[in-house]
Amino acid sequence: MIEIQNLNFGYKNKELLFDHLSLQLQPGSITGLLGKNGAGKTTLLKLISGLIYPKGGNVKVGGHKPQERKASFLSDLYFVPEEFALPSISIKNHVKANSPFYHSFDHVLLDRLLNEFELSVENIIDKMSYGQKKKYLISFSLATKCRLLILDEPTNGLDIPSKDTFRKVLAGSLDDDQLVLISTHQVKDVENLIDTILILDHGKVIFHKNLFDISTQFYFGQAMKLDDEVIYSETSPNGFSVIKPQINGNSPVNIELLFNAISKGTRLIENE
Amino acid sequence: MNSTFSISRFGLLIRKHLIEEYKLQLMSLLAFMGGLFVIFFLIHVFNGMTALSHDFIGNLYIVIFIVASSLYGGASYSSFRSKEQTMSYLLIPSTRLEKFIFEYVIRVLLFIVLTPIMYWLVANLELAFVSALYEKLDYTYQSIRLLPDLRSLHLPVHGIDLMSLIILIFFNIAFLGATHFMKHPMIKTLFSVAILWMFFVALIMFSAYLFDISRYSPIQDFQLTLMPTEFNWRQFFLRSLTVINLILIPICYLKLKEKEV
Repeated sequence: MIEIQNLNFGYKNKELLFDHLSLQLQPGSITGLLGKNGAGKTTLLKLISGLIYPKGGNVKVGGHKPQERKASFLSDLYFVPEEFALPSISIKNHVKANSPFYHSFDHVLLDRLLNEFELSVENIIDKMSYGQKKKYLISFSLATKCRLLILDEPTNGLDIPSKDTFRKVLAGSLDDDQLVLISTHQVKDVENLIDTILILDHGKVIFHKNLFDISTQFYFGQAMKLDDEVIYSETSPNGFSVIKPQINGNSPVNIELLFNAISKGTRLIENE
Repeated sequence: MNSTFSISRFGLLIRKHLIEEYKLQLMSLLAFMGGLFVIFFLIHVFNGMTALSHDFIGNLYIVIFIVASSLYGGASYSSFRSKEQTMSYLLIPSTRLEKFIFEYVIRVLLFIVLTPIMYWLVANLELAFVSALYEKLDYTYQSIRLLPDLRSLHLPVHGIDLMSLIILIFFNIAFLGATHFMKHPMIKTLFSVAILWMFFVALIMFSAYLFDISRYSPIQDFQLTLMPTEFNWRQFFLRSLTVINLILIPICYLKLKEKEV
């Protein structure tokens, strides 16, 4: 669905952020885009959605060049940015004004999601808190049934119960042909939700793997002592959080530990 | 569905605009009409509550139209004033051409059509108000013509084409500025136009000085014709203004096409 080949991009008067970046993402997945501050996560999302133009190389999303901003491309993409602007009208009117642009818009699903997030269609958007606005935008984005959903820091501003609801509604509202790209710093918030991890560092993809593959190859757990099998470790209140080669079946992936290991240069798997 | 222009998508843009912006549009309309009312009333007060001539009303209309068109045109693409709004605007599922035509219709064409009607309406309302208030001054209601009398501006007989092009230039420059500048587009556009104007004036003066045009006396047999003897200035301005307008409109479109966040 997303094909990026030899992408070059840099902001004005700055060195290239992406230098020959190549990447492929398939539909039917919830991909977590992780990276430190300034790694290029939001820039990559903007390039994918056509908000900025590449300096070189090719970006294709569902066969479209995002920079052409064709209506058919835009009606199949929904981007929930970290900072957003919404008009001072009720949710009901906002839906009335914007939903007709999306051919597969699911009003029943929207009602259900608003209900889950405890929002009323009569709420005036401008009078809602940042977290409530975000919950509305997430609900709207899911109801559009766009094939590509881009969520930039979706859990920022959400309270703890809402983060849980977010995971629940996202997992329960997607179709097989949809791709969700979630950029976040809050790796704990997307644990048990994402199925693919993509880690960016200084404009390069340093890790891109399916979580199931990781869990079959590596064991994530606690240890009192470090032994020779430990690939990566961090001190924790219970001793050490460790990554070891997997011996029996699979274990839940500790994304935060994995992210720290990759960021610190631990070589787990040969990457692209 | 057409990938360049679709009537149904264009209709959706209008619908979205009406739902989301009707309060702001209504308030702007009321503010404009209220402002006009106050202007008319103050003019009446300073004029000793005597009737204003049609010529005066016509000339005032031109001034108000030019100022208001620059302000309103300069406020085009209101979403471009913030990064977040620009993002959400650019991601609306419609083509650039639809967005461009929509903005042009809303900001330019609708204004050109609505302004004379509002002007006429407010002028009459204010006149009725003043007449009712100062009846004892033997002030009688007079109808005011819908459009200003262009003859009062001492324009050539068919001056309306020249005026229309000049007005369109004001609009298009303001529109271009709004497309290009993110913050304070009106001020920045005026400043840019002033700089360009000064540059061209300086260039012409420098060229005149350099080539010593004042001493230009062509040899009869080898006459380098700088300016034809029967030069039609009106035709020249008409053509120049048309060309400038025709160039400005696609530039505005290209600016939208190139817009990034």
